[in-house]
Amino acid sequence: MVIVARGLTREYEGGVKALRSVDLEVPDGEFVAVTGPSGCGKSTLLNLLGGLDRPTAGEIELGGRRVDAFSEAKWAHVRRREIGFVFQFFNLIGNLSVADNVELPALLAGVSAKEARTRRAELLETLGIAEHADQSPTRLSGGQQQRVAIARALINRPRVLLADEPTGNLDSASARDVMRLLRTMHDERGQTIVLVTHDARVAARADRVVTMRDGRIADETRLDAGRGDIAATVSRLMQLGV
Amino acid sequence: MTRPQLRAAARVARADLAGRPVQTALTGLAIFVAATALVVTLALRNGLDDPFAAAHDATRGSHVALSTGALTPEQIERLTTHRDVVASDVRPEAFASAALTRNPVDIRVQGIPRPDAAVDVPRVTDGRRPTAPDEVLLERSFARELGIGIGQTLRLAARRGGTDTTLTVAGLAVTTQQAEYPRWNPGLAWAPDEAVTRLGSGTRVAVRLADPERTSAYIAAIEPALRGRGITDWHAVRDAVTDQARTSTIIIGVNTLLALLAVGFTVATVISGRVLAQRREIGLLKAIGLTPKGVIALLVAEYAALALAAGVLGLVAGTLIAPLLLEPMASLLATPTPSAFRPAALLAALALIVAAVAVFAALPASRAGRLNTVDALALGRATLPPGASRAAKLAAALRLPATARLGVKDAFTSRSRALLTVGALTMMVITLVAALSMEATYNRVIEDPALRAKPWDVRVEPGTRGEAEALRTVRSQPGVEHATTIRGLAVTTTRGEAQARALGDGFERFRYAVPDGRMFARPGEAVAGRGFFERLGAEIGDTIQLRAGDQRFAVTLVGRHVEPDNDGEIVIFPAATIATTGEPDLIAQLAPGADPEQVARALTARGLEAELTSAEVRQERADIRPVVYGSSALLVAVALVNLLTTLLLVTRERARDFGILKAIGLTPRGVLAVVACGGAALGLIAIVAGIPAGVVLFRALMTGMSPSEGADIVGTPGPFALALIIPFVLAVSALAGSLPARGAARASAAAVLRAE
Repeated sequence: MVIVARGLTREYEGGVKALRSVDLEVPDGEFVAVTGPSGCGKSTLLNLLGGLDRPTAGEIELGGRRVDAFSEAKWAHVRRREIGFVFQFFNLIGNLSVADNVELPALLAGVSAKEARTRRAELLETLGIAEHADQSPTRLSGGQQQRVAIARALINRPRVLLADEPTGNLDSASARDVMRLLRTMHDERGQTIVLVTHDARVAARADRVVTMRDGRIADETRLDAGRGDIAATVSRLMQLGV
Repeated sequence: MTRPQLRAAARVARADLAGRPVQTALTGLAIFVAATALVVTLALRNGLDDPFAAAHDATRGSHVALSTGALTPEQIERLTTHRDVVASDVRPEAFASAALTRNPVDIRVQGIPRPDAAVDVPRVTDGRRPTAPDEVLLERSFARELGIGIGQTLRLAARRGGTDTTLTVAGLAVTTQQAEYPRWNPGLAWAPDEAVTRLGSGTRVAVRLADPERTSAYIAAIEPALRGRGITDWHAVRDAVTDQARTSTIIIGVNTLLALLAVGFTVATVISGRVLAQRREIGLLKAIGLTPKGVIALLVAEYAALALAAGVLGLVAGTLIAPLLLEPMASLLATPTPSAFRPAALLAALALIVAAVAVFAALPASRAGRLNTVDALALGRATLPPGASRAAKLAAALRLPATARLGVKDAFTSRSRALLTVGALTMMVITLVAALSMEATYNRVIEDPALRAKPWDVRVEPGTRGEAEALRTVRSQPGVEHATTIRGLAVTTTRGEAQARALGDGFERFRYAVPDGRMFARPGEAVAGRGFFERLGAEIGDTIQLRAGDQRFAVTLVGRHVEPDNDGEIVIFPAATIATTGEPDLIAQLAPGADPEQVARALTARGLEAELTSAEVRQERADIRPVVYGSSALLVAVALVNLLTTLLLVTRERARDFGILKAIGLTPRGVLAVVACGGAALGLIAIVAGIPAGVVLFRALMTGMSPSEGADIVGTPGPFALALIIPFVLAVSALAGSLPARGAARASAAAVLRAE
């Protein structure tokens, strides 16, 4: 298992429980979609898995070792090498060029500038945005910005890619492109992906869909082939209340 | 604005200030520090404005004073009813000595005038006026030089005809009757009349004249029997005090000018920086119906209110701190300590601060007010400038590590704020360079007394001995290499009176600092100060006609020497040029390695009064240090607050970026490094710009404030001293960056990114 979470609970100040004893296992190479209505705790779960937030109770294992009690600095090191993040609002640094944005995590991880450049060029090429390398990300479309964000998340070849509503801020064509890209990464590179979405069409691309409600996992559905009849999968998910 | 609108505006302003307590507190702190610095600076400058004139007025100083034996009522009548006299004072006076050091110290004791006396009222600075018959008030520089404190008793040995008396020191006072002790000897004390008459039977008559420049006419009218060494003309006191304080006045003036500039910079940076950061709020206010003018009015009122509150506190702090710097300055200038509590000046300082805050709030607010509302909202949320950062590109080209690149990029995200902060830091560097330049200037003057027109190590008064015998004594003193005579005399030029000095045989050894032309080499040649050349409209090479007493003679001006005295209106020539008369002083140069203190002591022991040239400059430097370093410290504080505010604003604006960076693996220590690098980048630019600017500015200000000598005496700090500024500025940057950096390192990435 790449990720194991047991009894994960997150309670905010004022007693609001965003997550109530969640158990989740993600095997190596799986594409998991976490879905559910707004406020059900899916983004909180993703933040806890990536160490951006701390659980009130419960355990997290990453690649077989306990990480929930890690210090912030240790978590930062884990994120550098083992976790890639993709956000709904892209979260690119506006006054750095596309190339700099993508290379930054590699440089922070101690990869040589030359190697970082090679990896960045490769990724941008794969993602179809190589010609924008020297531009500011603010000049790109939403779909292009999200590709830059994906490139940045993958540059250190992380074991897990955590994506929080990666299509939430995109038009439907761009959303489809981004999901196709993520699926390709999963299929061709065996990338483990945990993706949070409230969109059934996006969730339908995953191997497994975990549905959350009121801070708990309410349901789990294994999809045999998201690649086949998407419409049928979506309607199945809709029936499940996703 | 209608009443409900006003209420709404007040509510918005209050919420804005309270919503960011740390920033509000820091903005308040910056205004507070600026107001404090302003009050201290204005008080210092006020004290500099012709310090002697101010002190002379404050003590109702005399224009002519006559110290003599007992006088008849008719003699007093003649002295005090002369047609030029507007006020007079007659008091008993006696000379006594006290065994305060190894040698007895001479003291002039006068009857203490009533506080409302018309002439020469000592201003009490410490303790109180004597109230009992056995109490005494001491002149401050005299008491300080000899380490006499209030409450101490003085056993005074009377001279012939008097009775020894013991008096207790009740207080210290300043006066313009004479310059600072020990330059002006003997020391001065005031005691009740009965104590003075016990000690001796002298009289002192002091008068103020309707025209202070008519002292010569008044002195000429005094009956010949009373004319002698006991007459003091106020010009002599003024020249002694002013000469003593000249360099100090210039240096304090330069420093306080820099302080005023720094205050302006601080207000500009902090206020406009904060308003620039509020563009999103401005967008929101417009979205809910505020007009652009309303936005400006709201922000100006908000910051003016904050400035008023912080400014009042700053005035209080400034009034409390100012005496710490004013006291040494007053001691330096031999004037009464000016009060920092002058309501009109304080009100003016407050008005200046509030007005400056209002202007620097209005400028960026009007820019933000003109922004399209949607843009303002978008800018506020993402604050993304349109292009990739040039600073980051430059840092990348320099192959700096990733954290340094990010820091540099962040520091320059808002170009105008970065410029203002660099400006404030540059001011700090300039001040530090100015403080170092001051040290270098003093060192130069100490090492080369010629720069004070005193190309000798020791000056000796022959006292009762004749010129020839005194000269023999000095020349035979071990440690003395060369000695000659120097006479001061008045000469008349075609454009009025001027001062002259005549150097005796062997003048070649006493080389004045002559930046233009050359030193005189033979009788008939002369060098003169800049003021002399300007007054006569003369040039080097000109031959000019002079008259000394009844003698007419001509000298050829062969050079311009550095002359700090009398605005440079002094001419110097070999004594053999004319048949000189009058008692000269002796000047001597010491052999290399001779101990000046020891030589001076030995000469004193042989009955000659010896004064070391370097000692007075050293004392002046020691006196000025607290003033210069105090005001420099204030400027460093101003720059620190300024940088702190900038970095806080930057880190707040970049909170989202920090969240992203943490998400991609930046450690808390990495965040600290990013902020520190940003501060260091600004600091480095300030160093690069500030060091040459400081050297040039100090030089320009010295020249501007003292055309007769500034450019000639100014010193430049050495490379090692200047290099010390680099770690200092970087340390200040790191200190200023530590608070915002820690805040940014602690902030939760999830919380920041969720807020999107």
